[in-house]
Amino acid sequence: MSLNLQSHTISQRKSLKLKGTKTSVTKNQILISSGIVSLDAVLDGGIPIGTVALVEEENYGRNADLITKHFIAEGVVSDHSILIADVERKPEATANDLPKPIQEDSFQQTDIVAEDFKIAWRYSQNPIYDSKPYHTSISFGHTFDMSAKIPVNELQNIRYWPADKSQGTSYAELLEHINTIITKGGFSTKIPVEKRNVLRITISNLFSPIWDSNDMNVVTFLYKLRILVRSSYATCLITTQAHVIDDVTKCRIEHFVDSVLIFKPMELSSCADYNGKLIIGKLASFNTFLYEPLSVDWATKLTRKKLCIEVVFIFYYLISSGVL
Amino acid sequence: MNVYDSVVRGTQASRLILIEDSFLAKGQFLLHLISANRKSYDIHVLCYEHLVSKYQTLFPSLSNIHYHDCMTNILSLNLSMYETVSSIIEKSTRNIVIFIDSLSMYLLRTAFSKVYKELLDITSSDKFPKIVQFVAVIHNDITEVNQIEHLKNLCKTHVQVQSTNNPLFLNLRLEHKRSNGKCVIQKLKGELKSDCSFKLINDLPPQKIEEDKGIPTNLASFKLDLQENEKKAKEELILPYTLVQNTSNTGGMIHYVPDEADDWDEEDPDDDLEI
Repeated sequence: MSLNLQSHTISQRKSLKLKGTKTSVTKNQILISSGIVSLDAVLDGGIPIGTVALVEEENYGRNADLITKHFIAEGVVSDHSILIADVERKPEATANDLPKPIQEDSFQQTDIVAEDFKIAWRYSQNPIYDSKPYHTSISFGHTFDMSAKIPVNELQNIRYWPADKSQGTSYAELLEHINTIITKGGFSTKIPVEKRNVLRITISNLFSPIWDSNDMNVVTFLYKLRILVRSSYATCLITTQAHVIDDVTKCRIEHFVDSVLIFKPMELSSCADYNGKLIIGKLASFNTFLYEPLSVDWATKLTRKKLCIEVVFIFYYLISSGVL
Repeated sequence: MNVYDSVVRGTQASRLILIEDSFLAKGQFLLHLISANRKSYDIHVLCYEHLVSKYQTLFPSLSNIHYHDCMTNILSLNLSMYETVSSIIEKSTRNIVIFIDSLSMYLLRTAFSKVYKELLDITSSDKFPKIVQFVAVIHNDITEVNQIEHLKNLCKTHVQVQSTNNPLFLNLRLEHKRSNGKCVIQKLKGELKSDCSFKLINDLPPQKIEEDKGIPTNLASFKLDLQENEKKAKEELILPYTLVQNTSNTGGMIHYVPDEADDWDEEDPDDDLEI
């Protein structure tokens, strides 16, 4: 099996022109957005096509679920094909609860001054600048509003697994299903098709007891999945609850995926404005032997409408909370 | 937030409450407390551990509590928990609360993945909208720890009953996951009375009474706050510079008419600056 997806020549890549993707200049890869602009920045631009990303959630947070939904919603906006696999909840329920993209126009400033300033009156005639991070490219990465939902009739190109109750829930069956989609749907790099599209796969609640691992265990599944995804235009996002997995299995699982994101609850009580910590366990690194771990502390901030990843200045919090 | 109160009174909508106990520290008293506080619902107790007659003495004698003998069922009829619950729901008209004592016994004869699936189905709101709450007791000395971890993943509220040196005193550790993803943990200590009541012992230091956040008028030698009429006068006062905000008044200009003997300097005054 040829694993040379990552080494496209520039002319090959130019002829591809996949919607909702961009090319990483430094790494020579095609990236897709995770749906959260700030998370893309953490992931060095986005998630590379042909890789498997794992989100580990500790202590029952909501981050993994929200990231999955943003990942799918971004796919919907970019007209990608999507496969949602979930054994615990109905996959249709996830699709009916996707955050709605915010239209670019709504960012435009209105020139109505909301109120008269009494003290800072000099500023009332200054133009108002929006300090939110803008993104210039329209096709790559969108901003979503979690308080609104994408209407169900706008959902296209979404496949669900398991499709009905009678279907089994074993790792082997899911792998077979993904294999069928990749070969028949024209996502394989080995089969030439007229128009390429990107396939986004989400697998939720990996290692849940409902998975039937009699004919294939989870580690073998991930190994085979990675081989399959490598030679295709697919990207896989897997979520799992970290505390239910024993340490040996967890090490093996982390070995067989390309990027690992670990979400932990915040321990310092003074960091009340953040709701969790993000640890980069592993970043997808290709075309290089070098691996540079990041030494920045990331934190997640969850508001009613938006999930955001920010740099946290732990030192500042230690001082303000009296530890130092 | 008081998790204990919300568990006992049922004020928080938690579809699945998991009570983890052991041989030394039994959690059945919590079922007793909960049952006494759910008078508006039908309570169905799935008895896996003792005979029904024993449960009738354990629980308060209320007309809305029904018992289902699942212990003798184990030997003869092979009804699963899911089948038992669906048969209960078919017969009932009111909203119901289900107790299971204990899940550990059921797990002894059923595969874990099946039990997990059944629990997931029973507690999903679209399948059984009539079930308001499902309270399960599990023994951590019988069931494996990783299985309990999986079950904790399903429930919103988890209560752990821990033993102390004195068998009458128990420690409670309550964990409630809020819908915003945050987790509230409460630790309690209490004494178990003979009438199944649980008296909380408050050994935490009493909380400091919050000081009045008002203006400390008596400390200052001058007047700090404003009377009503003074506030009104302050609001009504138009400060001269706020007039600038009125666009009709803006656009001030400097009119300069040079006179005949004006000495106009053409030279740049900043010429010698080296920037």
